[in-house]
Amino acid sequence: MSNTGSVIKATAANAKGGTPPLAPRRGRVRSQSQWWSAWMFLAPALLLFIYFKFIPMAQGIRMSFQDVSPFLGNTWIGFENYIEVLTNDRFHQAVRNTIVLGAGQSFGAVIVGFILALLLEGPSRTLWFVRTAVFLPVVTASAVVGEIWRIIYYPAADGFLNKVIGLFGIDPIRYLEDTSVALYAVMTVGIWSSAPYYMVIFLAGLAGVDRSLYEAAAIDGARMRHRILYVTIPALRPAIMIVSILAAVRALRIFTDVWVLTGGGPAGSTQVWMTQIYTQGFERNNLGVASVASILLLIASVLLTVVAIYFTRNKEAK
Amino acid sequence: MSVSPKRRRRQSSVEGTLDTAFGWAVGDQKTLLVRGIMCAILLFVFAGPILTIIVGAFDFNTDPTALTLWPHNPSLENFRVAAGRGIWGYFGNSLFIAGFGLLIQISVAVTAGYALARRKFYGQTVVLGIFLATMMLPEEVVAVPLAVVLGDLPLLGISIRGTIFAIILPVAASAFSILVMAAFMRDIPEEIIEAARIDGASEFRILVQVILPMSLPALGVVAIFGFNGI
Repeated sequence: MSNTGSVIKATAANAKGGTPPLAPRRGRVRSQSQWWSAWMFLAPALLLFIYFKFIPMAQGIRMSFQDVSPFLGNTWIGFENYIEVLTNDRFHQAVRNTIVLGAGQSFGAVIVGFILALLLEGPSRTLWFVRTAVFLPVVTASAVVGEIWRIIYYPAADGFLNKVIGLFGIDPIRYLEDTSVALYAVMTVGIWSSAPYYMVIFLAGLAGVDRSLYEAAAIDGARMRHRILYVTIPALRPAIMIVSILAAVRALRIFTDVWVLTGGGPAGSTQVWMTQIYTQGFERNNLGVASVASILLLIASVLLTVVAIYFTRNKEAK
Repeated sequence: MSVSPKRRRRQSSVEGTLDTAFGWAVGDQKTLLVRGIMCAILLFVFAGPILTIIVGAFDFNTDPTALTLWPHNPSLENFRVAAGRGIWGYFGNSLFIAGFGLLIQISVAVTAGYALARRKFYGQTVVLGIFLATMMLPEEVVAVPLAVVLGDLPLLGISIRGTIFAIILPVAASAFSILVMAAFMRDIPEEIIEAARIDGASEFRILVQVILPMSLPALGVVAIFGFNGI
């Protein structure tokens, strides 16, 4: 539609200039005759998506109903893989760990990110420098983050964090080797490396808060506490929603952080859904079982997204 | 006249307290100490660990528990040892994969974005739906079957497992990049494209010589996100 409109415009412009309207008409005819050129432009993207997204997806669905063995050929076994995943204790533990780690890490990162944003809000150049420096963990590769924290968590008494807690008279902890601590140690690293990312989103939201509201609140005698509770947080509600959804969906497929720090150990105490998929699929070659777990993960994340979208829509409508 | 800067500063400090949620103004002397300590703590917690790694690279030290913010034994020995283990070769691989992958990703995003934004064709909604669907499909979910597919590409019957193509091609098309490009190209005035068409430019030439130079800001965004993603 916009095409014809502009052709008319072009014709009008040409008529004014006195040129024959032949040229624009030819242009229109040509663009219509080459309808396939749009598909030519789309072809690379579509081919790559089909080959590396949709065919693997279809293959995954097929393998989830099969007993996959590379040399003997695959045999159809119906829902046996599904039953195995749903009744397997390892997967039950992985679900528990994913929920604990995901919820803890999302809440922690959002809250820490919010506090960081409040603390580092402001136009001064020093604050700009501090904000940039604080953002560093986000851009650091997960493998490097894991390496840094492994040194910080060094289990001996002269490890960095053990020295710090030693100042308060606490006995050294074997952070990544203790089954009751390891999950929380991983959670801390996750919060550390993702909170600055949420900080940036919150900072963008804070910049949009109407300053006259602060002024009005100040005239009404509101203190800093009230200002944050009754002006800043309500104004940031959309940003808080978006960030929470983002964090929750990301938390479902948390993998690299866990993998570089503990590899799912000790004794499976940090085994999450994705590390379980990796172990089953690539280390034990249980491709059917791993495919089932992948599909369940997809269903869970789609459900979570849909629920989140539904809730945000409702909020907006009100 | 000599009073005015002082007065201005005081005024700005009073006004500035309402510029942030915490009420901390730039020139405020009262909260300076608190703010300084707070910034120092945040720097130590968030940037400190990364600084220690950078310092550690220049510090010849065999103690695995040592974390310092200042090199005690500065040397380039670590680099020599790392070079001996072929680190520059690995680094080159990383750069090559990221660079080549980015090039493909941008080309794909530009062409597909152009088709979505500037062309009318049957099935446009379907294509848009396909792109959006891939955004809902996390890489982690297809990881296991993807490894199988890479070992035996359907129809082509070749295996690209173990080659750099197995790393680059699965991330070469990004729905996010395509949608960013499409959103930007939609705002380019139709008259400019029409003018190029009248001048006899081919579709490809319009894209390369007219649209592309006008989409440089979007290209920058796509490049930054793509480089981080790959």
